[in-house]
Amino acid sequence: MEIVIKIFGSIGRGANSFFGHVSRISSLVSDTFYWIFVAPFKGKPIRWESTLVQMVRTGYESLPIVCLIAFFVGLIIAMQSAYQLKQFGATIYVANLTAVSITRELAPLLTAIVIAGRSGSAITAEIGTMKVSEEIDALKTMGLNIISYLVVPKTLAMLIMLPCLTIIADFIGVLGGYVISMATLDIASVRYVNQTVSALEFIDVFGGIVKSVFFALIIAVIGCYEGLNVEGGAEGVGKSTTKSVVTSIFLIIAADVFFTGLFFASF
Amino acid sequence: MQEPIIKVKDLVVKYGTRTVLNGVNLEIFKGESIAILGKSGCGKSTLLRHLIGLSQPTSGQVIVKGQDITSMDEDEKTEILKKLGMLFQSSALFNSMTIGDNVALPLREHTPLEESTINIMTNMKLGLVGLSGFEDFKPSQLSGGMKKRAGLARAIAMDPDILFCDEPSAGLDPVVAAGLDRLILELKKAFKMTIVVVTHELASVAIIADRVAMMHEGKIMAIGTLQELKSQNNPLMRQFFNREPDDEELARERQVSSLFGKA
Ligand SMILES: Nc1ncnc2c1ncn2[C@@H]1O[C@H](COP(=O)(O)OP(=O)(O)OP(=O)(O)O)[C@@H](O)[C@H]1O
Ligand SMILES: [Mg+2]
Repeated sequence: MEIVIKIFGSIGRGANSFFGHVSRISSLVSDTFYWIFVAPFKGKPIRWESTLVQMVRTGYESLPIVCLIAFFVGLIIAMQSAYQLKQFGATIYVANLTAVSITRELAPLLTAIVIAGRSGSAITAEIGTMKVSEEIDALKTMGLNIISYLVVPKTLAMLIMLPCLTIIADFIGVLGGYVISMATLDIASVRYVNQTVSALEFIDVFGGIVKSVFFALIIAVIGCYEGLNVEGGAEGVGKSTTKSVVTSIFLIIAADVFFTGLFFASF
Repeated sequence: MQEPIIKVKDLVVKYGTRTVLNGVNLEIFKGESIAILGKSGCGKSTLLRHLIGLSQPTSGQVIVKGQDITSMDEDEKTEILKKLGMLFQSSALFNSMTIGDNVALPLREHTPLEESTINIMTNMKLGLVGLSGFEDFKPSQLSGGMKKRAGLARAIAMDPDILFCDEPSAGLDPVVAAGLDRLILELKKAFKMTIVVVTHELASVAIIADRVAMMHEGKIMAIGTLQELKSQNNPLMRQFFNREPDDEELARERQVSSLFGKA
């Protein structure tokens, strides 16, 4: 009997803390949207200067690693599909497979995962360190709003830069496929390019970009949320940073399943 | 007597099941300086956090300039906060900014002043705390005492009506500490600031404080001038003023010395 009570007790506590997190994250999201979309019309402008700094950090400085990974993934996808398609003598379809899988799935997903590891963790570490050194409290005592001062620039920068990085990753990934095909398959360059262009539909590229906007929101909000909830010194910052990356990668993939499912069901 | 500028009514603060403040009542009047004393961990910093509305109390009211800070909306609170200055126990300087930017931040955020005017004001405040020439230093390049002084410069950047200082002179050498005490006193005189200081230094209490509030077990146990408090024959107060250790402390000491065989 006692064990049953214990089990239900721990389920209850788990559910309670889960819904607690969900409700606090929702209110963080709605506050952030308020400061992005409503407050500027009430004479409380967005801090574009710090947004720009964040855009350089999350976007520009991530460019090399994102490009490199996208290029490698392009190579891998082209080689894997060529291996299959060779059996049917249909290697020209490497162009289709590469272009569609890169733009629809791999570029948005992998870019988001790289940025979650790189910038999501940096957001949590920065805000968390400010929290433990009472800098957040100092900002509040100066009458500054934490959401508008810290969360909005980071979120906005992420919402702008992740789709941009995704578009670049689309190109570089397709380029990777092209390089492999030129080097190992007997296909003319023009034919490969034409095949790629005709294989791609607007919805492929656009769908990937829409996904990346949601991924950006996940990374920024989870990063800020974990940072603002750091407790207990440097150790707490480390723990929250890990948690932030793991949570956002999990949520990114879960959201991807959802979106792909939506697409799969409607076509 | 005039209306108090800060009035605390039955303030109760609990962390989980632990009660840190257990019904604090306190009135602070305009232009006076009040020192808050009490054992380490008795809730002095917690009280200050609630006086400036940083945390929400379990129950009770904090009325600042006639308005309850615990039930204010954002905008009202921002207005009140613009005229409050706080020196944190840990200094809480923004580590990513230079000292100059730290002091200039509230001016840049809340005033329409030109950058050149802000620079002049920043340098003036840094000069007041003896840190002129350090405006381009990062907090990590300063000593603990210098950080405290930079924190004070930032706290007074907006010429606040009420200045809160959490252990301003802890960890400073006596000369600098005395300088800081004099500075706080000058601020009070020159700008008619109301000053609330948490401190352990009896010497600075004697210099700065018009009145002293003694905290014990989550309450204000006694309040009055230093002389009044000294003349009360309260064992706790005597212990504090004569720097006597607790009974538990004495017991622990005996245990330690018995371990080492020195009775
Ligand atoms: N966020 C918190 N969560 C739980 N307990 C807390 C929290 N903040 C403070 N406390 C507890 O409240 C008590 C009072 O802390 P506070 O920092 O106010 O003490 P203090 O009087 O300022 O001590 P000191 O003189 O050492 O600075 C301590 O026992 C501390 O453990
Ligand atoms: Mg303290």
